[in-house]
Amino acid sequence: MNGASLLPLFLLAVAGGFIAARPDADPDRPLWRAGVGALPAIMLVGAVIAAAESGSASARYLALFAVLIASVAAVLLVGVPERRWPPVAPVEDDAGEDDA
Amino acid sequence: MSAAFDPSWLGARIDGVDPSPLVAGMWLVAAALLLCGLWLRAHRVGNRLALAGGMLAVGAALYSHDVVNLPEIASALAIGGSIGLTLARRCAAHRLPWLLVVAYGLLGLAGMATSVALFLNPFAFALVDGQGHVTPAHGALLLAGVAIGGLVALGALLMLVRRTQSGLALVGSGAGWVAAALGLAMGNSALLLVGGMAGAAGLRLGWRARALGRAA
Repeated sequence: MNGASLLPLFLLAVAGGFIAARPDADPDRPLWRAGVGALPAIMLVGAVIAAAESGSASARYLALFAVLIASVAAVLLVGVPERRWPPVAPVEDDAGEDDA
Repeated sequence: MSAAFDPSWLGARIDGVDPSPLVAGMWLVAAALLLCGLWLRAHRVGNRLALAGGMLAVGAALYSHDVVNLPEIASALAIGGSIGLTLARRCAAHRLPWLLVVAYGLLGLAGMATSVALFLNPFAFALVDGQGHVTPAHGALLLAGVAIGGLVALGALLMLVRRTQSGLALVGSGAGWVAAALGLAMGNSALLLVGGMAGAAGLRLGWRARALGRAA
């Protein structure tokens, strides 16, 4: 099995992720803005590799579909935390209309 | 102990491709950038480090494989990226968390589709035994990818229906485990490392958020 030799790396990564998700570094902003979502977006790489090595037509189009939706998700997961927050409240100018 | 630093040990020997220190280095730098992104998640730079790591990993994937349909892959990346960018820029600010729930659901679907695509094309990734059948270990990994991906998509759908964001870190964790299962099946160190990190971090963050929710 190819991946069996990678098991030590996997265990190391699990330990690293557990330690890096330490609670004392809790961000001021909510969890969904912390950019943690960029990590699962690595799924895009798996979809790209599957599409690159696709042999049959069904596997190719399935993998290309995976690339399409994974790229949508990856851009959302990286781009949404970059949006300005909290949202700027709309200016209430109803009161001034009667004066004019 | 020189064998410990052999490129094949670092995951460069992907589906029969000769070990390449450059590719192994790219995978590891990408994983290190994503780990830094997770570590610095309280700061804005963390998100950008993770973005750089993801871009490097995609570049390494395209560089290290015999790409048979690059225009189609580039088109899918461009179309999907454009849709994602438009949604991320135009969506109303109060709906942004729900956009992330949708994104996690899409990742679950992508994991399912990738697992099935690997199952349909097992020879390219050496997932078969001598008789041409998918080995039980690889079959179990691909089945785990389909099952966990389906759970992630279903969980995201339930979160949208019930209008709750309490399980956000957990669906992220599930998407990470799917990536780790695919990485183990393909022998890809970047998927394995980052998927394992995302899975463990999401579980810890989700568990803590749940405990805080109970305490409140």
